[in-house]
Amino acid sequence: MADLTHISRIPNVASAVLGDLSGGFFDAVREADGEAVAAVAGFLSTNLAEAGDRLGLGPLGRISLSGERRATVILLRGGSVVAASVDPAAALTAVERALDGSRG
Amino acid sequence: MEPPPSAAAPGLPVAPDLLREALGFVHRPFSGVVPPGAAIGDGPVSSIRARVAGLLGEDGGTALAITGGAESGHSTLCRRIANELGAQRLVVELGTGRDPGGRTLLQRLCAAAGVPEEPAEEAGLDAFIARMGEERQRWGHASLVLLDGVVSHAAAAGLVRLVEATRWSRAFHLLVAGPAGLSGALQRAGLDEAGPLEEIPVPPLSAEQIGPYVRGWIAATLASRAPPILLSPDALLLLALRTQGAIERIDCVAENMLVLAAAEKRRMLGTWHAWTASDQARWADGEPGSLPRRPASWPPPEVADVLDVCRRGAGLPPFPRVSRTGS
Repeated sequence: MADLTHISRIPNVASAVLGDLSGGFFDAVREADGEAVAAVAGFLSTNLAEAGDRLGLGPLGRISLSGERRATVILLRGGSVVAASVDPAAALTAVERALDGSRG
Repeated sequence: MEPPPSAAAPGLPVAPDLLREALGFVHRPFSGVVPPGAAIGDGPVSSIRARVAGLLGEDGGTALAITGGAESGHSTLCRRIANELGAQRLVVELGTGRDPGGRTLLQRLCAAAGVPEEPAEEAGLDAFIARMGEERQRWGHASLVLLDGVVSHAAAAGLVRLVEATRWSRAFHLLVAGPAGLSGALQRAGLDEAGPLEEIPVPPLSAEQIGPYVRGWIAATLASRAPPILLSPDALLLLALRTQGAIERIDCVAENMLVLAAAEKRRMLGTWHAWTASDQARWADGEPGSLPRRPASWPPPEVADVLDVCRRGAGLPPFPRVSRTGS
């Protein structure tokens, strides 16, 4: 929960949702449809973690998706999944850097 | 499991237009007719199906009942078994609701099997058994007689006679879809010489079995190259609460959830869909314009309260009420 508050304060993070790998929904900041975001983030995390395993990446830590206008960063921490929506998409690298910094 | 092809297989229900065009379904989901080779996660139903199919061998003489309450899926299961066994034997299917002509069960069965009507019951039964014997020779497997919608009191007397004839003639198998307690009703009506009618109850799906069941149907009927359809865990909790695991009710609500999502051009089934989908009428058969519209804000407090109850039962924290504004 503390993570979600912290992440939502990073500049250009428009909204953030906390869920789990099964797509369960636990908390949201500035997001109207947290249930759907958590379901999609859980689905992506599970599938890409499997793909990452096959590619020998080791445990999956982060998924970044970028569109023309907005981007999304999905963080995996244990069984928790945090999806942060980034607006504009061009701010994705800065948000990723801020997230890396916050992990120490 | 073999993925479904992009064109519907012959003999299988084709996906309704809205589900085909918006979501990429090939076959109709939750229809009761499962594409061959597909394994839907229907828990106890699969084991009942396998057990019954094993009992109905080449030689006739087996009489059994699959029983359950309204919407338990016992009737659908019987038709599914009959459909699967129909490739290798004659299936005579009879709905046993009230007959406006006042004919007896045996007379109606003879008519369904194309056996000329006899004035006396005894002669009618002999003619029916003789026809079933011929069909046994022709197909190499004993025919299956399926009686659907049996109400124990109304049909007991005629059914006792048919169960006895199944056993002594061994010319066919008898499968009955009826209410729980049917076997007892037949015993009270005089079926006692060769033992009671074996009754196999269809239990409701547990909350844990509903997710695999719904996903199994979607996977079995969606085109192999279609993008996935997601289900939120909260939607499954609501579905379990609304249906209490009764398979026919799950089929109705789950298909309506898909119809609602298809009309919105969404591939995610959430609590809005699980709460709003009708458990009475199949929306795929109606006009898409008359479907409910999602409100601007979801869920309203009364729905969130219900979700809390579901979540508490599953050992989860309450549903997040209002999206925090952050700072």
